[in-house]
Amino acid sequence: MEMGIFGMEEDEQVKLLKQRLEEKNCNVTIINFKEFPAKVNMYFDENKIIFEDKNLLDMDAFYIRQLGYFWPVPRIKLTKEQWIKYYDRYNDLLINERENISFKHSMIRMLNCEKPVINPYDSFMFHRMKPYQYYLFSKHGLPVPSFLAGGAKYIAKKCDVSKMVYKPIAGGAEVVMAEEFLKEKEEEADKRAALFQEYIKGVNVRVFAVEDEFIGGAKIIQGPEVDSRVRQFGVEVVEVPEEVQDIAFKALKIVGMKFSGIDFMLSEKGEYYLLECNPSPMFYVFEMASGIPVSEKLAEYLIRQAK
Amino acid sequence: MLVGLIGDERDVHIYTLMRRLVEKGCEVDIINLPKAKILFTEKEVLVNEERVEKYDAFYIRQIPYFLPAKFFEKMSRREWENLYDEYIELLGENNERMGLYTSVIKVMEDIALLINPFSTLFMQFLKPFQFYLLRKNGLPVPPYVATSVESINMEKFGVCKPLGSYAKAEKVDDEKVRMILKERPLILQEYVAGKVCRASLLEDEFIGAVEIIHEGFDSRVIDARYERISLDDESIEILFKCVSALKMRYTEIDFIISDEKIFILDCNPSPGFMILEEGAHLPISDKIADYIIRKVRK
Repeated sequence: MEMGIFGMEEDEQVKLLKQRLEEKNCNVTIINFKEFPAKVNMYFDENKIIFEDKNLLDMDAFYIRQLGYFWPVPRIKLTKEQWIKYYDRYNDLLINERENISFKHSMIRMLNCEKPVINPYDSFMFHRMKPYQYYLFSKHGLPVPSFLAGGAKYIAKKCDVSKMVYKPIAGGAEVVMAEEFLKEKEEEADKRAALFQEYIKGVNVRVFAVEDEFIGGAKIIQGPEVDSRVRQFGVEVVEVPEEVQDIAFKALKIVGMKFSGIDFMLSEKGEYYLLECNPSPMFYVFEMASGIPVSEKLAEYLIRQAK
Repeated sequence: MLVGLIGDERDVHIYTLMRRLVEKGCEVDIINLPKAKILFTEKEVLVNEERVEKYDAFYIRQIPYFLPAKFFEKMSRREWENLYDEYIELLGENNERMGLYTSVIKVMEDIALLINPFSTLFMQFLKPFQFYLLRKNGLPVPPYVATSVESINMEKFGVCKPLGSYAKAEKVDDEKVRMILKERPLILQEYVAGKVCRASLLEDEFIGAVEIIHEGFDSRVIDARYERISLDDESIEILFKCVSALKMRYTEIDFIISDEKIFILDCNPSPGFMILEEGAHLPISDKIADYIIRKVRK
């Protein structure tokens, strides 16, 4: 069986999934766009997608670890002198980046029409549209903490956010208490879009599931910061109640994901609140710390899909 | 009937469509997302203090572009220097705004008629995917390849064009193509000689078609002229099939007529319809307004 993984060879998730698939007698091709187009030979039409002399349409299933971000300037931190040298080239860089993104996204959307792709292309947008993700969960009766999204300044004027946290709408930035965010971004608040969410005091529980199998869950032992990603000291495996597993499956279905790391907040009163579904979660550290066989289950799922 | 027009109030397309809708008895709000007051909660989505559920339909003229800094206008050297240190922050801010706007548009689509559907809005930036869908549906798109490979055999291709708009379509010049391929991919497409044309149509109504009379290779030039043409039923049928294959509700399609056959070049999900409305007197805004009213009543 031939499997493809979109991601970087050095990514621990990619390495681990590749190993699991190979243990199950799959041939694995890593499709790495890091040096596209200069060092990646790729072309496609409606009948074939050729990557380094291999037709991806002859393969059986794909896992997307990274879809890539729009990043027109070089990704390395430039010195001021280097930055100044890019004057005059910015329009070209923007056009190049648009074309590169168009190539990758067109190809993956096409692949998604022809082969099992985990996660499906359309489900990735939910990562960049958290208000819409929460809105859908709430409409379907899932327990999402109350939230407000809009212009940061407008919301701060209109609503009481003192018991809320700030979260990025499209991923990346650190989750902090809303007031801290507003204080720090006071000067640019009128330009910022922001998402504020009711602060649930408790512990973060991450669970993993594929669409037809619950894999496991663990509490994240974190530092005093609001954002559990800032400092993690370990995990503690928990028995995830069946009704919470059911919420996880419903959430996956709503956002069209086949595999996800789903974040919950377990309140001090013992109630679970759904925070979000991640389309390309990091599972290496979690698996090493918890012993929960995420990569094994993901590999088995990919093989089931390929059949 | 309340219709939301998503775009800039200074845009002539927005203004014209608003007039048509008002003439037909509709109420219209212009929603300029970058300037709008948005409050999005689990209970309701308010745009300029109106619940989006109040609207019957939305027309998107332009989704806001992902553009962290000035693009078309030239930046001064000083402006560029001042962006240093700020640029990463600008990218982040832009990402956040786009996440908010697209979330709002998705809710609009869930509750009302949206022209064009969200999934089609990015088609003009994803030409290879558009071509794939059209050819898979048996529609006559000239053979193409999207490529990053410098050593590709270019003999059978006559045209090189961008995958995501902006850059111009040009005749294939081997050396120039190889230079470009060092920095970005390209679409190479078979050249079809013939009349370059454009048609305007809704999913259920053909509005009209023109021949684009122009100098040079790329027909997207300011001084082009537009002459109305009539098409046979078979050609119109092909154009409707394109709309259906891409799941659009309204589009302008660029195509070539060669030996009485048509070849599809591009379907645009948010066309600047005033070019044909003024240049060839096609009643496009009137037809879009009628379509909105018809669909909402249905």
